[in-house]
Amino acid sequence: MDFFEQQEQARRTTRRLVLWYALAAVSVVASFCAVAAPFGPPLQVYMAIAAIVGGCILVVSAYRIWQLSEGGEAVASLLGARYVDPWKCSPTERRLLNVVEEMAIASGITVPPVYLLERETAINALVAGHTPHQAVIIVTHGAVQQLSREELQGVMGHEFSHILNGDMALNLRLVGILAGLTWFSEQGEKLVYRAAWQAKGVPREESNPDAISALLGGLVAFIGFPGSFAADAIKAAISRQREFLADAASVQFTRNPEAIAGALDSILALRAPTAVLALHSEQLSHMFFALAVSRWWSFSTHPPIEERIRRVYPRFLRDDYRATRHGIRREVAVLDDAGNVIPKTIDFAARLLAELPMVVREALRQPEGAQAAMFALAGQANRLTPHVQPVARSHMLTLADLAVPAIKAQKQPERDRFLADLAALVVSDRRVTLRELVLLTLLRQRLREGAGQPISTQFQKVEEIAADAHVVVSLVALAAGAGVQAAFEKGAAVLKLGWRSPLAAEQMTSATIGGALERLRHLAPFAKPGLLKACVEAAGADGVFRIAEAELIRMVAATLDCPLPPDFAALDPKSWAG
Amino acid sequence: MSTGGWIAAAVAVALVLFAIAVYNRLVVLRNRFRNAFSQIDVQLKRRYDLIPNLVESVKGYLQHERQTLEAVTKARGDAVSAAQRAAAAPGDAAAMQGLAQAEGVLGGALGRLLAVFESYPDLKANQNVLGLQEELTSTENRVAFARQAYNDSVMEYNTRRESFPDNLLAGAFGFSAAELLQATGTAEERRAPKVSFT
Repeated sequence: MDFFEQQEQARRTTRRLVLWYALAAVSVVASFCAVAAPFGPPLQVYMAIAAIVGGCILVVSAYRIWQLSEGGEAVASLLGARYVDPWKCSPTERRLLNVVEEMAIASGITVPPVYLLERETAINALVAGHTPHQAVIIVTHGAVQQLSREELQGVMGHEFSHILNGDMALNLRLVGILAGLTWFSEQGEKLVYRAAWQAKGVPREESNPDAISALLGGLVAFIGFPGSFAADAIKAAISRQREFLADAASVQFTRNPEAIAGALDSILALRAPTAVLALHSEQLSHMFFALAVSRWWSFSTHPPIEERIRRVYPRFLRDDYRATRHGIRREVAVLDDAGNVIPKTIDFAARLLAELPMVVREALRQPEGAQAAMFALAGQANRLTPHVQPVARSHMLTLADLAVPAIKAQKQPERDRFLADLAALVVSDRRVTLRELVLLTLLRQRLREGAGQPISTQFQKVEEIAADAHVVVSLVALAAGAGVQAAFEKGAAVLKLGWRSPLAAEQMTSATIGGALERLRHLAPFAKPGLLKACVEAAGADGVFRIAEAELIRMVAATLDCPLPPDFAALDPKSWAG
Repeated sequence: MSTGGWIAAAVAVALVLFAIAVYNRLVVLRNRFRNAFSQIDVQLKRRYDLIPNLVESVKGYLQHERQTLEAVTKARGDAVSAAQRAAAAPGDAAAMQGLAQAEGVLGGALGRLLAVFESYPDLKANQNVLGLQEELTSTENRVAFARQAYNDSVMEYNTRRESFPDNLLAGAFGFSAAELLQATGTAEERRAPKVSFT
């Protein structure tokens, strides 16, 4: 549907509206007549009531339509919004203006003037105007302060869709027409709320609260109730579908579904209100970005926020988004010892980092420091050894992961020299421990020439290099300590290659293992997960992952360039047995 | 005139009307994408004007980052001349690619400069620099959105030009295919420049 079709459909909707308006007006008149009925007045009184009430409705509607004929500026002044002057504005207002201009470019519409509702802490916004060229954007102070730049972009994209799709003109006509219907209950409420506003210390209007007028107001509001009920029904029927459309169009403009979904989610995450308190906000409630006025007895002008997020971006990762945007920790349900479900934070990556000494973290950022830390792990005594040794037992792989980027920033000859030095250091004591082998293999895989590039496939099936797979599964089983045979059988069961027993520990030389891993690297990508699964099964055969086992699996995964099985990757290193 | 003559005349008139309709439709679309290009041009100019201000106001703080600053200044110069060449012939393949490349280099240099800011606490506290940084972010977005609008209108034009029956006449009328602005550079440049505070 293009721009002109949208406009035409909006006009058709308006014609249907007039019919509903007449029905609603009749119901308000009937309501007033019903109040008079118990006194049994003559017919002329009924006629007079009908004329006065009907006249009021028509006059108010006509007056409001005339008032709004000026367009957007009239709505802004109705709400008491302040014009944001591009020549003198604060940095946050500057940001808002920039975002509006960006969206104007994206949607190809002239840049509308921006108004700010300074006293509103809620997160909300609206556009108003009769044509795209005289539209204004009105934003609450809360939205400008609390939303991130991207989220603000999403909200503005939504508003620009209302401009482009002809919703705005329809909405404005709606305001004028419905003003008459809601006038009686609004006047009544105004009398009642005056007292409340003063009690809140928000002097909206000079007034003289008075019990009798409050009572009278309550009565008028009650009698006029059918009008505001009908007005709400009409507004809700028209506005709800348009909101989904506007959310979708926001993505079209920003090309970033996370912007609009994030803005909606932030309203939930920050537990921010969306209700706008300004006078007349009820009449404009259907024009806002989110629910601006909500009453328990009435229809919602906006669909629920969760539903909007789900429709605009079904794959929105709420927990990840909140973790990065608001620092809200992700919680997962896990079973405790007694079998009860308890929430537990699992972003241990951040925690692991916090456990490393500051000196080490600083050092890992520079190539020299990172290399020194790796040498310290391999047993060299240097300036970092005292800091690295305490965390080396459980954090060896974390340290290696953190060291890689800095070392990788160097040129290939320097990386090769580092790897050669490390290898020389490892063999200097004439023996290679399992951990040294893991460290060296892991670093070599990440830093060698062509690391990170696709690996050519030379073997289609594990069967073709069964002997090499045998070496790796045996290696993991041997690291299991006691119960080597049981561990090996568990792993062998995954691959079903007819192996009976693991290779003997004497056969495991660094040359054998290195050669086997090098050939397994060239296995076809779809055959690799099976091999990795065999290793995980062997390591977990006795129900616990030892550090040595976990490190071996990480090493094998890095060599094969194959992601870890998710349930293994999600394990907290703290749970690894020593 | 015989009946056959009338039919032939009617067909000839219909063909001429059809050709006029095709021509006018293509002209509308071509002007739309040319306009979209000039919008990019406006935003690029805004970016070029902003950069000297930015470099000037941070120079004092960044004595040790002379290389980064010089890279930005040089990339700006290259981009300005590439933009002038492209503005002379919007839609031309070689000019578009040259501009895309120069813009890619400038974007990369600016990204590095913004990253450098993070390690200078004094700089992050400076209101003037913060304001410029916001302007720069906004300009980057505007350029991106303007490119998006340009590509959308080029796509519409090319689709119309290549679909039947317009494709029969487009060549004869001299409507050549327009070039899309491609995303440039390495994967690293395409990644949104997220700022790390760790």
